Amino acid sequence: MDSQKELLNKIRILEFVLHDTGLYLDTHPLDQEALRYYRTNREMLDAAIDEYTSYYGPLTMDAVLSKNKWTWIEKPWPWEVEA
Amino acid sequence: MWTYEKKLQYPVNIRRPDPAAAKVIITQYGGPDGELGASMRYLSQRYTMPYKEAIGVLNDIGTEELAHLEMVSTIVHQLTRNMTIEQIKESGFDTYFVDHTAGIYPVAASGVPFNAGTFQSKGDAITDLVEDMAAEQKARTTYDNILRLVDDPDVRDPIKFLREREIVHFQRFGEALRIVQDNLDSKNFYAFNPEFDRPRR
Repeated sequence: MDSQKELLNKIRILEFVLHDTGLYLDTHPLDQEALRYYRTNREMLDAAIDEYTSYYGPLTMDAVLSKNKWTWIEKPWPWEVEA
Repeated sequence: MWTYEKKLQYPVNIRRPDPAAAKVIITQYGGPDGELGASMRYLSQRYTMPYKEAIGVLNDIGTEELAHLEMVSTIVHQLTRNMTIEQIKESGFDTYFVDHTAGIYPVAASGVPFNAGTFQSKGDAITDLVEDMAAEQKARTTYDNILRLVDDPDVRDPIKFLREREIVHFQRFGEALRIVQDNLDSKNFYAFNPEFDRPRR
């Protein structure tokens, strides 16, 4: 697996951890251990997204860094990637 | 994939219940030219669109329409809060009320439930973008008609915002169509379908 795919997969895993923990917290909003777990993973996700964006381009529209070109529309879009 | 932001794209703060207005405005949630169909149309059409600028427009407008259907739902919800049974009977909202109480459900003003038959994903770049331009105009007309029927400025203000967005989207789809045509055979735009036919080597 190349480093772009590897980093994207790390982001995917961390986002899923946050989402799934968030679902648990929706019904257990005072669970301190879950709150700590969420915060730790969010810090790791923020760092991973910053690293991905600086090397490979934006994952969200507001993360476009280039000043002279709108890189948001650059291919491939997620459904265009071949196995 | 998507993440949710806990805010509306444009604020909705309606003070006075008006079930008669709700009964017509809900058509922009589940009706033939509504925001649900708009979002599903553009997000479905993205996959076979070959040109990055047009993909961007379909992706990003399809996403914005999700924010618009949340705004329309909020308008309908705020118009149907704290209604009396008398208001429900007098306004004609009773035909909706009997099936959905004050819940939000995607129907046309006529009461017909949301139907994916109101939009296409034809797999042809010109065909789809021409439909998209027409769809934005049909939604714009619907918002114009709502503005003829509703006087409350609390309701008119977000409706005017939504109407304006239809005009901006029409412009962007027109530009996307031009970009598609720039990539085709200028003597015969229909010589091949760039979403299906493979370019000659």
